Amino acid sequence: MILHRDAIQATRETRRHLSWQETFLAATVLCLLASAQQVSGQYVHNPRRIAEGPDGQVLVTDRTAKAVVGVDKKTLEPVWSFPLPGEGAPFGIATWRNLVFVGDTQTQNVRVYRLVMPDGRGNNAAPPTLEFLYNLGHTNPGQPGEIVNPTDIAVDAKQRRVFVLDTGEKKVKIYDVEGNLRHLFTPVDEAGYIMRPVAIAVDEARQEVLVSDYGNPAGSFTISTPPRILIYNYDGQLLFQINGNRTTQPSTKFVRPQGLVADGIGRIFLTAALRGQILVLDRASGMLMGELGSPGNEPEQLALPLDLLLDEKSGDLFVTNNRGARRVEVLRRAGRLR
Amino acid sequence: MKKTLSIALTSLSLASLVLFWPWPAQSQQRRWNTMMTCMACHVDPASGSIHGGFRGLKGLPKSDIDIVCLSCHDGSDPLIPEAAVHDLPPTGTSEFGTWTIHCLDCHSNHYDMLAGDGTGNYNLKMLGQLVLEASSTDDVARIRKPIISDPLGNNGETNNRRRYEDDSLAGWECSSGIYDDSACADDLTSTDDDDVRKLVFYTNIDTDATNWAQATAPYNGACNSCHTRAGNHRRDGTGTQNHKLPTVCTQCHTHPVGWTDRGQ
Repeated sequence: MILHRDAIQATRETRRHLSWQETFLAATVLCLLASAQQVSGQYVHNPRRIAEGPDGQVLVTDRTAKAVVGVDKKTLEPVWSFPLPGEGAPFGIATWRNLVFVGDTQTQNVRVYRLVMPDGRGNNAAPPTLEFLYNLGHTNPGQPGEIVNPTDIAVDAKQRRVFVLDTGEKKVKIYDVEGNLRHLFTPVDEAGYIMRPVAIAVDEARQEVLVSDYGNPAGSFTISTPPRILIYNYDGQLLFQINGNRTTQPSTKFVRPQGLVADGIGRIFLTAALRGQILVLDRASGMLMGELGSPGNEPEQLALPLDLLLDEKSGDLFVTNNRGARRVEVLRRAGRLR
Repeated sequence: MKKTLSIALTSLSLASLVLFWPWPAQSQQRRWNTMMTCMACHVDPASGSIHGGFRGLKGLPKSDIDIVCLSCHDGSDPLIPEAAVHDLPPTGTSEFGTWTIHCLDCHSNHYDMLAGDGTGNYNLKMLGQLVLEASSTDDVARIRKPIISDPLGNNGETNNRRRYEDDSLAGWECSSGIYDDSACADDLTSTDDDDVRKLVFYTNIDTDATNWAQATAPYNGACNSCHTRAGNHRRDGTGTQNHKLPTVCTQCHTHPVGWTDRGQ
């Protein structure tokens, strides 16, 4: 970490005195240097989004540490961290094979890394390395990208597509895994309004995009819209909308919906951030099927959960708990079919 | 008929001017603030509706209020300033132990709408205008409501009225936990740890470092008003007081990362 901080300080110095060519060269060198500065993480300070990691781990973006943190699925302890270069602000994260997609709200890019295990195998004893490959859209490193605020990312592994929610432009931008923009659409609701999209997920089986949206419940000065989940096909056509104000189903009530995941068999797991719970919703009807977890500040309780990951093999639900105990929590086997 | 039409057109023009006038940045922030409604904070997390879904926040732990604030100030909307609590997580370690400066320890959202020194300057960033009772002793949120019209204050002391009306008298708790404690109110420039501090937070906070930290008494910047153990800019004048000044603190320590210097 000290080396990394020195590197950033050096970057600042070069920004003051060097030409842009020299700055670019220095930044490139520092990027390589940063990728080698793997340190053992002690704790997760400000966890945001979560994604599947290398064997037995999940990956979490830590906004305060400005790093991607690997967390052991069994112990829930951070085992390694990777600071983003410069003043990076990691937010959204997703993985596909050995590629890691990290949304950087500071540089307005989704940075694509290759995850390199030290001995080429899934060995947790030594920290892996993230090797920078390119930005989505192939914008130049160090330059502002084409994704203003990449707050969440999802991947369709079969279709080899990366879905990025850009809450700056309020667009869903769809790239191929090579980094080329293929398609984009605006996540509007049934009435044609776009309010405040927050997080995204894909249902590979149904080929659907799910967007959680705060809406504008109070409706002052603007149209009143409920908090909701908006469901589109891959072309961006709205298929269904689950409102959190009981208008879709009397049982379905939520505010501040954050990260979500679809299990491919008709269930949607949604983090209710303000409520400190995970809601299980029926994709077809929008009906509330269950409530998972309990709010609170103690370990194993949820306080401002922001995202979740469903381990399809074990049924474990991993949740980024932004306040309270401030760590990755797990609801063991909660995602299994009963 | 003509008169009515004229009045209507004039009203429409005035309304358009107000809505679309290129207000300076500070005013734009203020306009955005006014778009925040009660329910932005007071919505009942389990209600799922507006009507009947009101939740009073008085008496909740301040850590719960943090969640209310951060659920919107999470960085997912570029129009809403991103913030993180100034703290050390329970799983972390530091030479100061575990500590937390909650949102309400610095900000007072209710009073912002009535803030202003009468010269066009506003209380920037919703910084606290009123003393929070016992704000760090029992971890319970209590926000004083602005009682501007109170002639002499609840207990008849003139200081009370002065503090309600003069928004330069922002501050923190008194050691007694009593808002109207004259011992606190009369000693606004004291460097004791437990007295009200008269904050300066009205000039350009992006270019004037004195809003945040001052190298000389009364040390009433936003940072050194609280710091009692930090190495730099303590409220009692000890520690390093010229750390990086006149560089504005927020050039390195930013709210989105909880004012820490990680990675800087």
